[in-house]
Parts: sequence; structure tokens; C-alpha cells
Amino acid sequence: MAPDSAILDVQGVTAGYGGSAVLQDLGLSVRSGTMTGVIGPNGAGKSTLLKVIVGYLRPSQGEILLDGVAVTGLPPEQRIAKGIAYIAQTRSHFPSQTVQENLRLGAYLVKDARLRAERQNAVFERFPILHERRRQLAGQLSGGEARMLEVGRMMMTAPRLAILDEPSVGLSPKLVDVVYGHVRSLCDQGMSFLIVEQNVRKLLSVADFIYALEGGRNRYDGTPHDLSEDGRLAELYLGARG
Amino acid sequence: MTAPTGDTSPADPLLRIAGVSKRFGGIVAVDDISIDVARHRVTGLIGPNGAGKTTLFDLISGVSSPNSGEVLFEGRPIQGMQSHAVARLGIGRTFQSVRVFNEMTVRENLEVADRNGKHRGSQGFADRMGGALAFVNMTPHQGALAGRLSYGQRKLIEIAMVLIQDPKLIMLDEPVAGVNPKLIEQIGELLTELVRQRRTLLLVEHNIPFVTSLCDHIIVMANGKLLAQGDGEQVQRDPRVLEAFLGT
Amino acid sequence: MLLDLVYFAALGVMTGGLYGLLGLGLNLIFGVMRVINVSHGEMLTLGAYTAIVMGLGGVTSPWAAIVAAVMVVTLIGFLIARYLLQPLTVESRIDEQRGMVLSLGLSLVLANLVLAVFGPEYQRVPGKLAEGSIVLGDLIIEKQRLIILIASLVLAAALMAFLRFTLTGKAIRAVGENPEAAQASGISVRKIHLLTFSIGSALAGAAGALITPATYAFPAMGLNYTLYAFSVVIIGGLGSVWGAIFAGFLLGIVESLSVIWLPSGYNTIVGPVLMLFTLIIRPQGLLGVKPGRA
Repeated sequence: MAPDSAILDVQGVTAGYGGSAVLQDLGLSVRSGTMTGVIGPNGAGKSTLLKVIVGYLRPSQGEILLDGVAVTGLPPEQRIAKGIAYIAQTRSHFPSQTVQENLRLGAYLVKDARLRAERQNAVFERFPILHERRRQLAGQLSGGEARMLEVGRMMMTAPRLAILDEPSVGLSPKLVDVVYGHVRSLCDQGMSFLIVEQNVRKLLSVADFIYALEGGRNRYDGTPHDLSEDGRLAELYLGARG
Repeated sequence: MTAPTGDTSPADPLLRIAGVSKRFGGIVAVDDISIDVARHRVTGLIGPNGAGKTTLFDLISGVSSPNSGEVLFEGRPIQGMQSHAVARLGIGRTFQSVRVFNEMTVRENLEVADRNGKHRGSQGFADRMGGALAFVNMTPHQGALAGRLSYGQRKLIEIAMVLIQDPKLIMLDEPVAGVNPKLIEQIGELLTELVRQRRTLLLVEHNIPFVTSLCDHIIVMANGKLLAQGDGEQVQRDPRVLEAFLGT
Repeated sequence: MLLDLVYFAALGVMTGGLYGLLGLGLNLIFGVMRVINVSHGEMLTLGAYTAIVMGLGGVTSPWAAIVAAVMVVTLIGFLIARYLLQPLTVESRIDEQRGMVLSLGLSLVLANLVLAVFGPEYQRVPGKLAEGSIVLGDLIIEKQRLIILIASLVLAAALMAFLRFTLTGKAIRAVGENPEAAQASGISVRKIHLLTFSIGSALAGAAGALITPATYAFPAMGLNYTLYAFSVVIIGGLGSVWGAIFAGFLLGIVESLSVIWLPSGYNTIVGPVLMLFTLIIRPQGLLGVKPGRA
């Protein structure tokens, strides 16, 4: 796989709920090894986009390509098997089971026991608090710890592309920094990321590339530096010209 | 922290919200908000997710009642009144979820709306219905089951249901959300025509360009508080407004 | 008098084990799939009639009949889940109303099919699970009933161990708690639904086969047991496995003891009355957890 190839390609996707088309002919791609962000005002279709990519929602038009291979039409569990991981905006773990069981379930598709053990160790090394609380029920974790558990679950499949839906929601600014610190470090180790965020300032400070959606379309894409140029953001969010 | 209002309305606003707050458990959804909605004007209410815009709408239209403060319609307090009573006073409102009766025909939907409207009980429903449907360009669909219409068409029916009541204040909750660009244009034209008819409009929207092109006066909310107000340009240039949307 | 109480209580414990087993199956299906399975009792009926067919076919060992019954009912449960419930599944969830209406129709169809094929007469299986009785002081307990109790407990324990300790069991619990997160872990919700419904049906089928040596079978027998199963689930609490077991015994004992005071035939009222009490006083059930589904 060439270093600069796209690990994810979204082509001409139109999708929506109950007759309304939230996404209109949308296209974007994630270059391998990068942290790509998606921003946009409310109702722009960010969460819908993620649902289509992960497979919870079928687009009426368009294709999703993972490493050049079409996955449109595959259910989520098969896309996970191909190397995608997804952390939803709302609770993405199982409160009634222990931390360790949650991690075990995260590795549901990993048949090799030694690989599982290796990866679990990596998770515990990165998040010592999870090791400490491994026998506790996940429902007893704090908000920040739960987020870390979700990242840990994701790490168990060693995905090539991790998709995060608003990872900063409900976290204090300090915890947001911590979470993004881990995301950046995992990205440096080779994991590609696609991240939707409401906290635009934070995303601009860490991402390699940004897509800005509006009205279900790709309004703008570029580096955070380009986007921070005078007036660009104001134009995007407030429609201000000049 | 007052922002320039840029509002040149006469002294008696149609709707006055005075020091209104609403809490849900530990969360303050609306925090001491005071706004005036001037007659014959279009006022837009914008703000990032969770700003409290729809909650404020609910407090006005009677879906919920404030913990403190007053909502005055034509000088008369209406906070805490039930929503059908508020409708009868002359406030018409649409919903984000597009509340039409899917199991009834378009005509029946309008009959129900008419029964709570200004001309309830009087003759001439057929004319009123005809007028409302013609205004939203849905006349051929009179006999159609509302549930069978497209999303955009249902939004238009919902607007017709508000108009048939001949309200003094028209409140629209995200009138162009999830709608294709052509219909956005069409709805924009409808609302512009209403403005020409000297109606009073209050709308919540996420589509900022739409709001700035239509509204005389824009109010910005963030985190339940009033952040800024003014005309389109003033709001677009206010750095605090941009920061609110960027999540800081 | 005391002897009577103890005797009836013991009897109640034994029938209670069965009720608990039925409740477990129903709880599992609801907890994971959110399907209110009104046809649960019919799975028991099918298990019973399979055992009868085996017996009439010359199979003398009731244990072989039980194994056959479980296999047949599991297959039927699988087919129901695959061809009737799966089409109702939208984005890994089944609409509760539709699931309930479907199972209601299914229960009517199945009961009438059995009626059409086997006729309305009460049927018995030749042979017993075990001959004779155990004598404990003044108490005489049929060995057969004791075996039913032990079998119920063993099956319940096996199910609980399966859910608690195996990977598949954890996956089943995960789907019940948060189907989207389960899918994000690579778990096929579709397959888990099929598995869950098959297991739930198998438990009911086993119950049906267990009781046939002890009582009569007739086409409408399922309805009664569905009622028991629901009573157990509501009294014990939706989603609580221990609750189902505890409530099963409670129901069995109270119903059995009521024979002493109520005219015969009225003891079936006990289940619904206990259910009503529970809904009024403690709606989430004795050991109920309110699982907030994601």
C-alpha cells in the first residue's frame, strides 16, 4: 500500500432518513496515516456521514471504499472485520460487564489468544487506570475513564481506520486534551483517524486535514492552517462574506 | 453585557420575554433570557447545538413552563398556559419533527388546525383551506394522506396548518432543515411574502445564510444565555458569535 | 396440617422450577431482542407433542424423547427467528409492537396446527422418567417430580453459566444492552438474535418434554404456561435471571399452597394476582433491573 494512498474513500454519497436527504452527493477521503477531521454546523450531516461509513445506514447513492475495496452494502460487523473501528457519540461500551469483559468483547473477532493478550497489555500500559479497574463494572467508571475504555476497546482490533464521533462530548477541557493526546500518539503509530467534532478549535490544533460540511455537502477542505485563514471559518459557520 | 440592538421597532413588542429561565434537573437550558420580538418583523434565533433555542420556543408556545420569568404576548402574561390555549391567542408554531397527522388527509389536517384558529367556528373553511394550500403550492394534494407525502411536502403542509389559523405571531422551528436547495429557495420566498404581508415571524434555524438573508433582527444564544443580537452584518462580525459556534 | 403445608410447599418447589425455566427463556428473548414472545408456551406444547410422537413411535426411553423434543423445538425456533422475525428487524432492532403481534399470531397458528394434527384429546406419554417415590419421614415425593426439579435447575444453571462465562454468552448480553456497540465490536446482531431465540425456544421445548410423563398434553396447554412464564418474568423483574428463578419458586409455592384454601380450579388465578400486586407495588419486579438500553 503506497504511503499516500487513501485508506477511506467516500464517493458521491446521498443518504438520509424518512425521505429527507441529509447528505447530498458527498465525497471525501482519508489519507493513510493521517488524522482527518470533519466539522460543520448542526444539521450539516456529520453524524449521518459516519453512520453511512460504518454501515448503520445505507446510502441511496454512492460508494464507500476501504483501501480501494467497496464496502457499501456490507453490515457493520463485516466492515469492522476489514479494519474499521467506531466509537459512537453516545455510550459505546457495556456498563453491565467488567472492564476486562468489555475489552474481551472489543476483541470479539480476534481469534488468536496470544494476540489478544498482547493487545490487552498494550491497552493497560496506555491506560493504567483501566488495569486497576479491570474487574470493576464498566458502569462504575467516570466519564473520562469510560472514554478511555472505549479507546481501549478500539485498540483491541488494531484497526487501520478509527472513526470517532465527537470524542470531546461531556469531557472537561483537560480530559479532552488527554484523549486527543492518545489519539495523536496512536496516529503516529500508524492508525488513521476520521474524527467528527463540535469543538472546532481543538480539532484544528491536532488534525492533519479538515473537511467542512454544510447542508449535507462538502463545502471546503484543506489543512487546518488554510482553514484558519481570515474569514474562512466565519464564512462557513455564519455565511459571512469578506 | 449588552450588544447593540439595531432594532427600531415601536415601543410595544408583540412578544416580550422577561428574565425567563428553565432548568431540567441540574441543567440550565435557558438562563435568564430577555428578548423582545417586534411587530411586523422577522426575528431569527440562532446558536450552536444545545444553546436552548428549541427550549425557548417550547416555553413560548406552552409546551413547557419556565421556572422563573414572564412571557408576555400583547402585554398579557402567557407563561404556563397550555399550548392549545396559546395557539388560540394567536401564536402559531411548527416543529423540528414536522408534526402533521400522517393517518389523515391534507384536508383533514387543515380542518383540525382550523378548529383552533382565529376563524374557528365560522363559515368559509373551504376558502381558508384553499388559500392556505395555494400559498404553499400544495393545492393538488388536498386529498392525499399526509403520511404519503415527501418530507419537504409535509413541511409545507405544516406551514399551511399554521397559516390557516391566521396567527398574529408565526413561530417556525427549523423550517428548512433537511430540505433540498430548491425547496429552501421556495420556503424562503414564502416567508418573504409573509413579511410583505406585515406578519410577525420568529424562527430558529441552523442555516445561517438563510437567516441572515431573511431576518431583520437576529438573536444569538449559546449555553442557554443570550450572547448577542443585531442585524445580520453585526452578528456575522461579532467575534464572540463565531467562537460560540466553534465550541470554545 | 403442617404436613399438608410442607407437602404442598415441596410440590410447589418442584413445579416452581419449571416455571422458572420458562421465565428464563422468555426473559432471554425479551432482554436481547425486545420481543414479547406470546408464543413461548407453544414451544412447550411442541416439545410435549414431540415427546408424545416419540413415545407412540415406540421409543421407550423418555430421555431420548426429551433430547428429540429439544432438537425439534430448537429447529422450529430457529426457523421462526430466521423467516419471521428477521424480516421485522430494522437496523438491528425489532419493533416491540410488531414482534408481539407476530408472536400472538404465531401462538394461534401453532396451537391450531397441533389441534388439527393430533386432535383435541388429552394425550399421555407411555412410561415415566422414574418409578416410585422418595419417603422423607411423613412426606412422600414422587421421584419423577424431583427429577423435573433437578433437570430444571441444571438447565437454568447451565444457561446462567453460559451467559456469564462464555464469549458467546457475553456477546448475547452485549447485544441486549447496546446493539450498536455490539456491532461495532464485530458481533453479528443477526446471528445473535437467531441464537437467542433458538435457545429460548429450546428451554421451553425441554420443559414441555419434561412434564409429559407427569401430566397430560393437549393442544391449548401452551397458553397456560405462557401466562405462568409472563407472571414469573414480571414478578421477578424483566432482565433479571435470578429474579426469574426466584419468582418461579415463589409462584410455584404460593400457587401450590393456595390449593389448601381455594376451591379447585381457582389456583390458576394466583399467578395473575401476584403479577398484578407486583405491578402496583413494585413495577420493576422483585429483583428487576431497569436496563437503560442505549
